[in-house]
Amino acid sequence: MNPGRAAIWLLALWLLSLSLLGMYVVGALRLSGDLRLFLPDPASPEQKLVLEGIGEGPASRLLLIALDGGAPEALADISQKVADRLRGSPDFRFADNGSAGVEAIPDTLVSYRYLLSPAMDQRPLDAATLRAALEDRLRDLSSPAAPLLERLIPSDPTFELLSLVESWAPQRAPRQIGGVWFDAAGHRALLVAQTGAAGFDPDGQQRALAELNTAFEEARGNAAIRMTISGPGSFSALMKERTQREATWLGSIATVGLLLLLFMAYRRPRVLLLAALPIASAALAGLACVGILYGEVHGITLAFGFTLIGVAQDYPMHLFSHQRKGLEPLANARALWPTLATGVASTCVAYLAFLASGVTGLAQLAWFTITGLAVAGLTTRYLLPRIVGENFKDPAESAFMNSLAVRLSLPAPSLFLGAAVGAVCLAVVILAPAPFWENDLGRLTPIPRPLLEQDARLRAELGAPDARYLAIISTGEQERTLQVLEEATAQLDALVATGGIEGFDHAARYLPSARTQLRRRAALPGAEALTEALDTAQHGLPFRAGVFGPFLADVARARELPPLTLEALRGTPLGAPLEGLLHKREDRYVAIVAFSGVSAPDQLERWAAALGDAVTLIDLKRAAVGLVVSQRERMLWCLAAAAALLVLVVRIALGGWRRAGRVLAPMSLTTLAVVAILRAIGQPLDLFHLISLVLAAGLGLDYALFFERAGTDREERLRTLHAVLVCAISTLLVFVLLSLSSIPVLRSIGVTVTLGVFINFLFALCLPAEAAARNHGRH
Amino acid sequence: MVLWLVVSLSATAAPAPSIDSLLTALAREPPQSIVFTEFRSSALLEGELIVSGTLEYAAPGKLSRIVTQPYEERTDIDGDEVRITRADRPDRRFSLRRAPELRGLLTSFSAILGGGRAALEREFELSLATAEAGWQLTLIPRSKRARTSIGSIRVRGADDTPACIAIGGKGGESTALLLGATAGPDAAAQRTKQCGVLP
Repeated sequence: MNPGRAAIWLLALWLLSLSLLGMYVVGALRLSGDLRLFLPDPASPEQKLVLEGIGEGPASRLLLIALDGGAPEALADISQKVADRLRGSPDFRFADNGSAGVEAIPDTLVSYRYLLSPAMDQRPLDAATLRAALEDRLRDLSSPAAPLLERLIPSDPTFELLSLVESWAPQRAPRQIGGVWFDAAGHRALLVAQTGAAGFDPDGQQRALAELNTAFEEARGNAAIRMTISGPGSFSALMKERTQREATWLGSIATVGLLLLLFMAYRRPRVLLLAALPIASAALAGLACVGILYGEVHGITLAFGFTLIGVAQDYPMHLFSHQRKGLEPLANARALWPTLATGVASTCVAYLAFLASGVTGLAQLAWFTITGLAVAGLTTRYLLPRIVGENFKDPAESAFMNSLAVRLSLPAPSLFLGAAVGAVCLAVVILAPAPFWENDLGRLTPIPRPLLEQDARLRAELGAPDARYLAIISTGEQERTLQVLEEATAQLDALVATGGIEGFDHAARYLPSARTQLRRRAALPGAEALTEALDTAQHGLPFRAGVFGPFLADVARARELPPLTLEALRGTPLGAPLEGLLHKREDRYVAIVAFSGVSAPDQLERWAAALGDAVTLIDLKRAAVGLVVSQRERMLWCLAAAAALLVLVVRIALGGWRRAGRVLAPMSLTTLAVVAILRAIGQPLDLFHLISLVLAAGLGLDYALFFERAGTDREERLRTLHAVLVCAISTLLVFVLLSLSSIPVLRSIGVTVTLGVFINFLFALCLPAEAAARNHGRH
Repeated sequence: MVLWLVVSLSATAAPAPSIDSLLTALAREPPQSIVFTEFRSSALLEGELIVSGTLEYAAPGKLSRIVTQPYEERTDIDGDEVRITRADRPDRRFSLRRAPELRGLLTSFSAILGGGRAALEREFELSLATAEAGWQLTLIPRSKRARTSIGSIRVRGADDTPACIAIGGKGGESTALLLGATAGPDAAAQRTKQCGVLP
């Protein structure tokens, strides 16, 4: 009997609710790329700073840009156009190509030069200073630079504005051609830009990169000029794109293979649609659940989650393989349900452990997987049977299956053999010389070597901040923070002098503390004194009378100015780069000291230690390793709890330890064997291996449960063998492909699940035989 | 050191009636070097600033201006980069693009010495006046921006020898470069003689 009118209505209704759910998910769920969702909540203030430092530090937001393939003049032109466009873009905090001169300072800030310029500390505005300055200006006026400088002189005879701009330039600025930065050879124009999005936000980085590319394409026109972009943001976007491309490509092949397999196994075209319904329902329901609870979902949750609900792909297979003429599909589903439900419940209960992990990303993962698997199980039990139709070919009557079953019948393993295999695996796990864990997250998405070398070259040319070390100063108030920075500057200058670091950057270089500003203000001469000093200085020089009126007015104005603050700078060209170095977070001001060319980290450590509690030196690499380790510890505890819960549920469902043990043994042995194999080939384990082991264990549990259910009944065993074969082959198809990937993350998942599924299938195959042997013995 | 003023290679000392023949006569192989005295005025100053020194032309696009009197200062132009070095001060560097006057001087210098009329005409409109006292080549920038910032460049000379380069716009010439003359009491008189505008 084929499905009737009611079944078609039900199918239509199901598809409609899926599309409604899909629309809700697309509309309500934001995809987040914030890696911190997957990191444990910071326990100590220092850990908190580390978390803020990762991705928030200026180094991680920096894009290094090189233009080459043209004449220097053309490159300089394009560099200028790109920089101008980026400066106006909301996706960038700032862009610098060395061209910013005194024009970059807004008029409102010009009078502040007497409060901001460090040069004011060395020389007061007295007659001697002015005399020296005026003599210098005379030479400037007869030099080729005269047309550039002439208009600055009346208001700024000491060139305070120029020395201020010079003090802001990087300590080791690149050479300039055509007014913009170039590499030492003069072949490549160089720019730096800081993105608004944090370095760990691949989507934000991708937006910024798209903006940069548009700016470049527009500036370039038809010229054959190339742009090279480097930096953490560009790497993360590149790796994300690469991983996605490869996953999509492999996924497409797998999908085609899967469809072919399903068609070969069931010879019913509609099966292709029906098989997809539970898993599609699972994915959408899981997403909707996370959407309702969190409003956003992390990209990693999605990737892991879709891997984990892969178990649900097997549920309809069991129904299909046991479906045959004369059997009411609902009765079939009812008969399979205790076994299926045990599988679903035990896996779901196990994931409850993740909710207690205290890591948002893992909790999201748990909700997604629990909801998904429950929905897949329930739809397979209650909805699918109503539309599937009963007319399936019984695998028990298939000659192919019969002969296959004979070939696949394995000798019943003795308890001793099982224990021996377990002992060997355990020995390998313990004795293998390879490091047990992979602590370097970077190796999962390794950046190609040439790119890293290029990055290092650009970083050195531009004197860009070091991506590994940074210091965080957090004292609460803005003023106190700036004062600490000022006090730290002398020692940092000493470090630069001894070569421990090549340079450093912090907020007080641009914005001195109010204390310093007020001191400089107090040192400014009054109107009369200044006029007198200027008259004395001008004596005998050919300057026209009254030429310096604007200068007198500017100094008078500076004497009235309130000290400049971060808030007052917001929205000015100076504000954006400053905000990367000093920002307010929950009522506290946090300042970052960025270093470039760190060659003696121990000197930096001594410097930070000498400054006491106010300063925290962060080694981002070490911090990241620490975070990975603590994250993994939590995950392992979760998994241990999950395993215990799972054992308990299986025990309750099967009503005895003996049966439970028989079902759990193949899966446990498989997990041990997979770990042993990975260790034996020298593969350190990472989070992706762990997740994959969990998936493989879930699949193995289902195989074992169904084989155990079939018991010694020949026909049931054949149907179960058919179902499990379809399940295992379809899973293997996907994960064997993944294990061929060039990207280590995908390979980790692929290899682990492939091994797990294969060994689980092998071990589960022994089960009914064992049961049979025991039953025979009893007779 | 080759003083291209002094060493006159041109045997055919006939009057130069056309721009082409003048440019051919003026062409020299780098490196070349010549002493100069420069008069410069500014709206900020009463009177003129006078410096003298040597101009060294090493290759097309490469010019150095070395001031020796009344103080020492060296300006090097290499491609688009200008660097001014003074003994007691950090170097000042800027792009030639930001100094149109200097750029005009360099372009005209390179083009005249290189005999490159095409290069010269790309950037300037040329006009030639001749009189008893010699010739006068006037270069008016084609770009409006350069015209507003530098006005025009006037090169005066006799036979195959340029004697003065004057730069300035409507407000009068702000710079006069007296070539082949060291600073001295007669500099002002020489300037009047060699830099005056030919009708």
